[in-house]
Amino acid sequence: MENLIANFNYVIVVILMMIGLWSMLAQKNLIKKCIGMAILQTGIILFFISIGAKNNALIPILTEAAYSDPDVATVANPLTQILMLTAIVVGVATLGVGLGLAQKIYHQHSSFDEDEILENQRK
Amino acid sequence: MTGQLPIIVILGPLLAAILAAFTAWLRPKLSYPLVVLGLAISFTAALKLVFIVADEGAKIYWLGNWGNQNHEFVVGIQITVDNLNTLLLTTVSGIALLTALYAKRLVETELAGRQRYFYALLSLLVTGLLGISITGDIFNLYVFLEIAALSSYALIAYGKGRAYMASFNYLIMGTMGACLYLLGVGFVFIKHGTLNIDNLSGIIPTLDPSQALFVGFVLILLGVWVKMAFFPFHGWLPNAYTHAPTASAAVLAPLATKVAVYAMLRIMFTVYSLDYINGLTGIQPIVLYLSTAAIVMGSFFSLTQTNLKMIACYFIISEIGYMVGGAWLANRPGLTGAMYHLVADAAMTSALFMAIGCIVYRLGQAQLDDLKGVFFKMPVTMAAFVVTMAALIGVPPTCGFFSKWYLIQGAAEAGVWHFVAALLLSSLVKAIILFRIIEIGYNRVAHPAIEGNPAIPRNEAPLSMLIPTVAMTLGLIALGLATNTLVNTIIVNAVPAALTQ
Amino acid sequence: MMPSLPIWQFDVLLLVLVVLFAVVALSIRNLMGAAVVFGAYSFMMCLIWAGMGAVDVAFTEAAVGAGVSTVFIVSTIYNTSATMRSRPGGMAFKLFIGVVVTLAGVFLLSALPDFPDWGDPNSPANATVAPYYIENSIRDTHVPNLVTSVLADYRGFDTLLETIVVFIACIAIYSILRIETAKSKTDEPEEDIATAPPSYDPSDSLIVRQASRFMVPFMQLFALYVIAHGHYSPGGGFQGGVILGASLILLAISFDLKFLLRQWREKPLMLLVASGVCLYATVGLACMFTGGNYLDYGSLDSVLPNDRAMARSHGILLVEIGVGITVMFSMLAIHINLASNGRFDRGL
Repeated sequence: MENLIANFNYVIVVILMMIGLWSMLAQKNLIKKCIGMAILQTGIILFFISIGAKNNALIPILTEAAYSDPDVATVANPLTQILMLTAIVVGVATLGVGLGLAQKIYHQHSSFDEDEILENQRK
Repeated sequence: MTGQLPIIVILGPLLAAILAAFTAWLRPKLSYPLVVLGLAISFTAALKLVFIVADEGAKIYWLGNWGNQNHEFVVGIQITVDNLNTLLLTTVSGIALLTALYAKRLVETELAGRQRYFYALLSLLVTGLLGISITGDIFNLYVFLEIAALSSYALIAYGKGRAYMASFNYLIMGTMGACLYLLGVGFVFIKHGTLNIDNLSGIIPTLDPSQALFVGFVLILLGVWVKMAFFPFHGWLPNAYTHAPTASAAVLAPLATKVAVYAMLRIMFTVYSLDYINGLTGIQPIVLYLSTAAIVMGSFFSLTQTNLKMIACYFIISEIGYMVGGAWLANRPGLTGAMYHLVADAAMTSALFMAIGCIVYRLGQAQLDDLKGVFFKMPVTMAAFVVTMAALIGVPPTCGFFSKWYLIQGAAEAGVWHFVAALLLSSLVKAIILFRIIEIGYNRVAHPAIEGNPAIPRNEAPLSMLIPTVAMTLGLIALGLATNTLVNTIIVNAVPAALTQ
Repeated sequence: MMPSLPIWQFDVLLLVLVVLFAVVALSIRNLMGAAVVFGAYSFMMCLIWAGMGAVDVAFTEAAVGAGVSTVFIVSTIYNTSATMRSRPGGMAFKLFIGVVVTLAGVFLLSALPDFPDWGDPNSPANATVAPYYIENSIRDTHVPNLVTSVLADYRGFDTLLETIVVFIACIAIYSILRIETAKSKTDEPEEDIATAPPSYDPSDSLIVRQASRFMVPFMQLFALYVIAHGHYSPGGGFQGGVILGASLILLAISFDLKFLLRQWREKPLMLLVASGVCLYATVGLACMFTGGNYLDYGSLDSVLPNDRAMARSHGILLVEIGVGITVMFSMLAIHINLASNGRFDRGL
């Protein structure tokens, strides 16, 4: 239990990941799939940010007093943040392409429903 | 200058793509030669690297010169080129160049009026694939994965109609794979704090066995399996590559999945280690059974299809089973076979899709029933097709024979007989399909689309397509004849050192 | 270790809310509602990240996740339909996926005891490579915002590629959606639904128009500050670029797409998208020609004033500008394509 509270962030990450994966695989609506994808991605970003967090640390911008000799323990980890900046941008790029495709599909089949689209294609 | 070669391999197609995005609006005719030039530069650099690395050993390149900082760990991004990398770089850039040369006429007819960004996207796809096969940083690999993936979604969606849904499915599955991979990287990172592959390979063996590392390994593995369409994550592949325009499929089909296999090999044997793989006694048999299932399932479904492209797609799925199985045998012949097959299968799939492309160019589609009389009308194309199929079946002296030889040897050494049986079964199925096509193709009544002028007996695809197809097909035989050199100078150094003693 | 600050309880509340919002966004039947709840979800998320000291990430998520992503979803729905048709059946499949996903979740949680404590400054992730950046960023690059220096310099290659990802997304969406107007009539007649005028014209509200007219210059000024001051404060090319893009998107939404397209023609827009990445890649190439490795801004000291570290600082500014240009125009081009369904005429 102690462990669970200390690692509450990670538990939330796992829950978000489960929600995201489930809706990507099981939802039939294309837009919902896209939203699920975005939730999965933000869950992973939360994971990395939690890895790099430090108790009682400041933001990763040095104050002038710390220029010459910064105290490592009081500055948050910049590395994980960079990685996740990249991941956010990749996420929005994928979402955009996904939505573009979804629009095209909608105008072909007048539906966002996967089953209906597949039925239409079989005809 | 030779010190800069590793980055030039990537920069060639990358800069070509950026410039092609300008010329797409200013001088549309220039885009194509630019991209071909970029790919040619990349191929030349890769070829040079093969010899340099074979002579002098692995090359390391630090982007932004952030390597030698007197720090225990690499703080920047590193590019590593060892024997396995050069092998893959040459394969990817060579096949991409040949396909680009081949694709011009196809693009003009299939995508008339819509080809503004096609070559830029093609070049970016190759950039992504080359990047995956060269980078020495596991997060950088993720970014390259996404570059390759995003451009391939667009390349597939060029196919219109059903291609949109196929591309959307690929997007969902591909993003899922990339996310699993990234999550796995997170699990590795939380225990090690570094992303550099060289640094990681130094640390992991020294640590106690840990559940986080194991979960990370499984996640990364699942991620790349989705990307390479390994059974049971293969669902997206057949539709995506079948409904894509033939030009896109010709470059995607041989390369995209193989590069993911490379990523798996790199993670398994460099980031983790041979000992780690051998320690996973519970998982190894499962993966081997999955590989067998992939081969059997791919072969079975290729028998039930009536579209030539679909058949080729199921071949890809079964070939992925060869490579994953070979890698997980984790012995010397198995791994040699997997690495050799990486090159051989890329070449075979490329030749197969080129031949299919020639047929599609004349027939407009590739249903088996439409192939009537095709042997009389397109003898050169069909000769190339038959040789390629022979290579896929594993007839000596083509390269397909040698990869199967090593794989079967490896499986026999490890005593995994179901894998041997699956390999033989897959050859048998391919032979059946080949004979079925020959039977249809020698039917005297030609398809109306290739009837053409009755005075001219033949109706081949244009030379700009035929020459690359024939070149690639001859390459299959050449590769088979060069097996000894390839295995003894390059692959022997790419296999983990513990196995070669 | 249990932190004693009350802020910690606040975090737990936010984390629970995030899960709640995710579930609501996915279970709501109206897609427009789902999009809005998803925007709120992103906003909660960026509060959490800001609480963990990741200000740059929170800033980007606020601009990208809560802002632009939501707009993308909304403009897609505007062009299509917001209603979900309910179909019976499929419960077994959903249940099966649920079981698989739960097993995956349990598998992931099994690694939990193995993790270092949350917030431990001596955990491997915090004590291996990261301290180098904190200790040496000033010496190497003269940049106090560590995120900027690592983003654009130490891991500059990632950032180049990430800019390229945005660029690819832009040209991919263009290739997928754009229909040359001359051809569209014969090519895909079934798309006529989209050209019918929408029942609600969003561009007739005086208040919205005047407010956005007033806001846009300030947004753009702020965005330029964010790009230029990224060395010293949260922000940089991505955030600034997204805000610049968003200011134009705001104009498009509050007036009409036509209004915006009077200023932004297709060709210059797409050329500008490419010019940003081109600037970034060229700076990298210039480093090679002045004798360094690719993206080694330090070697530019032969052409830029001051020492190597200062040259790195200048190099970072140059590439951030490149990133800003590409991101701004990509976001705009993606929005125009999604909102007008590739027609570049009218739309949200």
